[in-house]
Amino acid sequence: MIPTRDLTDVEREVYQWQMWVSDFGEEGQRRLKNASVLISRVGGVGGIVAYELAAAGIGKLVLAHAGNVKPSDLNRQLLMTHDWIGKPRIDSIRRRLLELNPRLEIVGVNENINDANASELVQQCDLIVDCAPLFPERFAMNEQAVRQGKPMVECAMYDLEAYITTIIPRQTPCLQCLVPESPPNWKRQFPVFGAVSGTVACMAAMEAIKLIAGIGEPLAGRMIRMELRDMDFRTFKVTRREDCPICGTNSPPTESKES
Amino acid sequence: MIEIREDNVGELLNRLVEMHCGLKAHLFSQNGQLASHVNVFVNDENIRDREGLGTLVKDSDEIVLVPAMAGG
Repeated sequence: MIPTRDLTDVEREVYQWQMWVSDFGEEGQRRLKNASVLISRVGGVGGIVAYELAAAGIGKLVLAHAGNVKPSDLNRQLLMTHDWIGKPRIDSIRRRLLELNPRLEIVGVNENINDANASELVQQCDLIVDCAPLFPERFAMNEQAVRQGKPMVECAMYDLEAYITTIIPRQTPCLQCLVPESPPNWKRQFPVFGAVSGTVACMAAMEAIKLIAGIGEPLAGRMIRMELRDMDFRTFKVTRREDCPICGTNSPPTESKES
Repeated sequence: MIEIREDNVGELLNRLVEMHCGLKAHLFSQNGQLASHVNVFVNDENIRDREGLGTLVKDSDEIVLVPAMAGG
């Protein structure tokens, strides 16, 4: 078992203002320091989640994002910069996060989540934030989250609309309870302002902080859908499907943590 | 927001796709079932947890269609 690392004097100084949050305090900060979060991908949504968690003092980020920076990334992927066009995104991500928090441990993978790497990447984290732009990537993380019993913050957007919910395996619906199959019309390229992806990303980062620190009420069994076109925010109840192939009655059991 | 008066969710969605024919392919599968990647809520409850497309609606109810999305 890895021993819990205490805060240094520098960390107490950096995180002083958030440790004033009454139910968070130094214990919450210590939990963040000793926690690890997997984020994939690390673009318009995931990049902001990573940045907020790095700012808040998360101990370790496991980040998966393939490809090189393109001009069309720059309206929303705030960890990419103009001078990095043509170079690996994951290197830009690492560089920008360490500028903000040089104490952060980063496991950076220059590939996207897939069925082959999801298990190993999920093993390295305590919690997942799902920010992938394709359903097969999301389903691969969802399946491993349920198999390994790891919470997953599920957030996505399109146009000026976004949603977020928090998946607690076997307690709340998993992603495939909500979306059993990939929508046939979903395309890799979608309309997006950075301010929309960033809005839902900040909410996802806050969910991650709450889950790790054990404060507040997570969005378990609830889904917020936001339509920023008219600033309409609604909260819906969401429930599990008994016939879900991932977490339903006949699904494979959660793996033992010792195995 | 669109105001439609019908007795249940199925009739309401049928009226909706009559008004906006392009929606049909997004909301329904080829066999006429509600597409699995669309969640329909009456107020804050998923119709899957009520009577599906047969869920009765009142004048004051708000029906929200939430299509699956993956923008990240």
